Amino acid sequence: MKCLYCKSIFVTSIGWRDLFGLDHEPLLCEDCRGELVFIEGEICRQCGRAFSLFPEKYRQNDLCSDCVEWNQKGRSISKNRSLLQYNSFLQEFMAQFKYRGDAELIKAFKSGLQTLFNKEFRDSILVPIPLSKERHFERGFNQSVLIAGLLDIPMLDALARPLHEEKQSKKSRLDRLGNRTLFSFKTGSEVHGKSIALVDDIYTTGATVEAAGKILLDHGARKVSSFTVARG
Amino acid sequence: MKIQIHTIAIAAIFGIFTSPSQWWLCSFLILHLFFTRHRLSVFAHILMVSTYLFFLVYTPFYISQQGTQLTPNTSMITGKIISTPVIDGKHMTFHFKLPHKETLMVNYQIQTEIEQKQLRKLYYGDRCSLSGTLERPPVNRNFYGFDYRTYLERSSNIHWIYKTNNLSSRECTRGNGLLVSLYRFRQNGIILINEEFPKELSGMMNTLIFGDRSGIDESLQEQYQSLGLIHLLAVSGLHIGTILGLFYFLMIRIGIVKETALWVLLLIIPFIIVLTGGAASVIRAGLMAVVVCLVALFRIKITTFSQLCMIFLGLLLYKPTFAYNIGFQLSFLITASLILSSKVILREISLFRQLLYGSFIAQLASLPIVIWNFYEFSFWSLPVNMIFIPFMTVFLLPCVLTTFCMFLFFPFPVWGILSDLLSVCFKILHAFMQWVETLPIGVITLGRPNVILMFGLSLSFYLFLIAWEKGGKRLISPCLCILLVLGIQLYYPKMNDKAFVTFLDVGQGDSIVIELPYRRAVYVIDTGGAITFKKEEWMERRRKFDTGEDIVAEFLKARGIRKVDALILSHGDFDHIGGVDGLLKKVKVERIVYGKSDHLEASEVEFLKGLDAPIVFLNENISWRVGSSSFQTLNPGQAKESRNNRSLVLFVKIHGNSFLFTGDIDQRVEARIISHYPGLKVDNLKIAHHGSESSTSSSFLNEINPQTAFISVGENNRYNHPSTTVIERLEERRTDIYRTDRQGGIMVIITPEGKRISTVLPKDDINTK
Repeated sequence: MKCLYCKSIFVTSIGWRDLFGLDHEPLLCEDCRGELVFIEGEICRQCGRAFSLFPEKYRQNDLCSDCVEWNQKGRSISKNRSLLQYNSFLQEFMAQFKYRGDAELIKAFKSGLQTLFNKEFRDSILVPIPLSKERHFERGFNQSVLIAGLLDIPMLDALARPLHEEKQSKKSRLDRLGNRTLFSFKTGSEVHGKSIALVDDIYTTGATVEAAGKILLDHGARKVSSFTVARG
Repeated sequence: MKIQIHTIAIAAIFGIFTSPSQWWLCSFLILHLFFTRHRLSVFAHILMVSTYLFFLVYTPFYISQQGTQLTPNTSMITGKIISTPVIDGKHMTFHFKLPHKETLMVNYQIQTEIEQKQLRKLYYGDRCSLSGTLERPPVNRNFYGFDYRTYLERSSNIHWIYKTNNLSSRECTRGNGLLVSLYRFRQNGIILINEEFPKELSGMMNTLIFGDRSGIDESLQEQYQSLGLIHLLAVSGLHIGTILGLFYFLMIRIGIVKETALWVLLLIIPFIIVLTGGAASVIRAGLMAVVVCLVALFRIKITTFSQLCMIFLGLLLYKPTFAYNIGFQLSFLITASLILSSKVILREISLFRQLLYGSFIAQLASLPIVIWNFYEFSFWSLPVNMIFIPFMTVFLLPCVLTTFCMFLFFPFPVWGILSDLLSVCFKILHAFMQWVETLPIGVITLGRPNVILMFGLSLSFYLFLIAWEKGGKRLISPCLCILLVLGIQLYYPKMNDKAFVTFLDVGQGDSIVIELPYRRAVYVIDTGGAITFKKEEWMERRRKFDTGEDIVAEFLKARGIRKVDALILSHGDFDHIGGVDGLLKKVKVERIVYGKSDHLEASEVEFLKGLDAPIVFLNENISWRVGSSSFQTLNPGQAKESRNNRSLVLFVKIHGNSFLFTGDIDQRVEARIISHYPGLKVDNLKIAHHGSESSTSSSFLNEINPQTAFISVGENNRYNHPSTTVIERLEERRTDIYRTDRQGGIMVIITPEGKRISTVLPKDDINTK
């Protein structure tokens, strides 16, 4: 098989579960899979960051100091869960996916995301974080919609992003935390009383999902959480 | 999605095994298709179904292509020997290929010791002209028995045994060619090792080097078998791997380029396959090695598992009947399991654990096949394997190979030291095995499971392996599944209200097994016994046939009977008690019952003294009950009588069905019984004395009025039993007759509602006349 990312030919060792197709075939080669760091073990109850990769002094019981800070300010997102640690490999990987238009790449995480979703967000409905029209045109696809699409459950297009502005990744932490009016609610979307999982590619400071979550809560959503591929 | 070759291999195996009598096997394919409907593409499904259908049609076609063209009256034949001739005492056998490509099994009875020596000069490839007669190979005559005819047809496409009366090495001409030279080298090597090395070493050496097990004592082989070590005596992947690994290492050491070394390996693999005997496991291992070399040479990216599946499919295409070969089944199943478990095994860092897990998985994978074929397994098998596998492959095998090479290429005394050392090693090894055998809770006899339990067992093993692979702590439920299936197999007879009375076909002689409802007790009446004549040493066969060991004990094991409550010996004739020692050796017997008499002959007393079980003497009119079944003895009486007439006669009533087991009594005792026990009515009568004219009188039959009669008698016996008069007497009374010489084993299945009789060979009414 050909690795989806590095394009090298590889063979997979087959196990008992593969015998009758119980396991999904990996799409990445052994080496690429080795670069991925899955978030496991103890995590922050709210933002889903792994404590093992985080200085102990910023930890307060089952919360990280960022989350404590967020909570003091008031928070719309009940929790965030991410599949992978955002390391330099994944950064390159996501860049190829997002900026160089290799939309197929995200399929490598399908089974992982499905398992995580079923474990953490079982009864939630999906709302992908939208792109502005200009950005969507420039990129050709919305990565959040692609990620949400992997889960084979209906998603709700409840948000719009009217402003075209600089990418989040080009802004500083303070810039990000400052803005609150990124999104607008699409009238007519049924969010009242529902538990919603926002879908995005990367959670770094949480500003994006926080902004989106606030709007959804304002329009009657019961609970908003966030579900991302990577945790920065 | 890519094609998964193992799904095709699975389809192929089901295609081969599905036959009109086993049509339900197709349900496995349907189930598989159903469960994988979302995972596999339509194309993969079409491929699976077409593979299945292909093998479904191809297997019977292949078998019919291999049919015989000979007529039974063929007497003169010319052809060539295509196997290494086997000499076992007076018997010599080899495969013989005729010009029209048909293969025969040739049998020859050696007359003298000198002739035996001369015949050792017959080799593979020799061309001979023979005269003799054709015979069909014998069919299976007992429940759970071995069908030699089917075996020969499936393994070697042999349909006839040719008994020749003129065979001499001088009248045969030597064949030529590379293959012939290889076979000659192998045969000479075996003889040379037998002559030059000490006895305890030569057998093992021939086994490990040439795959020839004939030099190892039968009882030692049985020990290997019962401890689950028999695979060490079969040349296997480990073995071929070790040999090739040594070669490769040597070549690299002396500075040969890797690629060249691989090419050399490719060249020598066919030689190794022939020299090590060419059994199914050797072929598998050899082909695996070929593929591994090719993959390394051409840098093909393909998983080991796919390689194995391709070899599997290739071999089945070449010869679908391979699927019936136990060695083939075990070899592929164990290899596949080890490959599939490589994740689990390699997860462990410590070598000890890797070895532990590897041995465990190999055991687990082979267990269903082992239980089906040998009805039992040993708990000590796993620890013993963990010691023996590394010791054998890492130490003993290289040592044996080195010794043999030194023996071939260096003069005395270098190899002598090594050979002495090895002899000691094997002695210690075998002493250790003997010690393990004496340990408690060794062997557990399960009996042959039915197909549903087999499937349940395999499925729970599969679930266990999946759970293990996941690495979770959810091993408990699959373990419970395994225990449940084994528990059902162990305790099902205890819940079954059916009783079974089985007349075993022990040739001329009696042997009857009675299993009471809920298996409250198991009684065995007599053990049969094949009469052997005193033999000179050169005539001794390696394996002596014994009715008690080979027929009675095998049947008991297959039924999952671990203990016989009473072995009832009707009287002291050899055709009734000849197999006692063999039976006692294999199965636990609580007590032996013998007819009480003040007039026992000296030989009887001596025989009874030598038995390793408590003996109970019973005379007439003693009754006992077990559950709802009742037993009563009707003979021997007080009077001084001949041995036959002192036979213990037993009247049994199970679920309202009465049986009379008569031993070898004659009309006089029959008359005494009907006068002493008036009103005796018997539904099922074991005809006394194998249907001899002096027994089974008309008045006796009139009085007891049996519905069904059972005659335990050998096929074409020298006494012309059963007598036509007895048969006529029975037929006049419209008694249903069952004979072990016609129907083979006969099983009476008694339920509270009635009885049903099942026979190994079909019974039609023309047959009994």
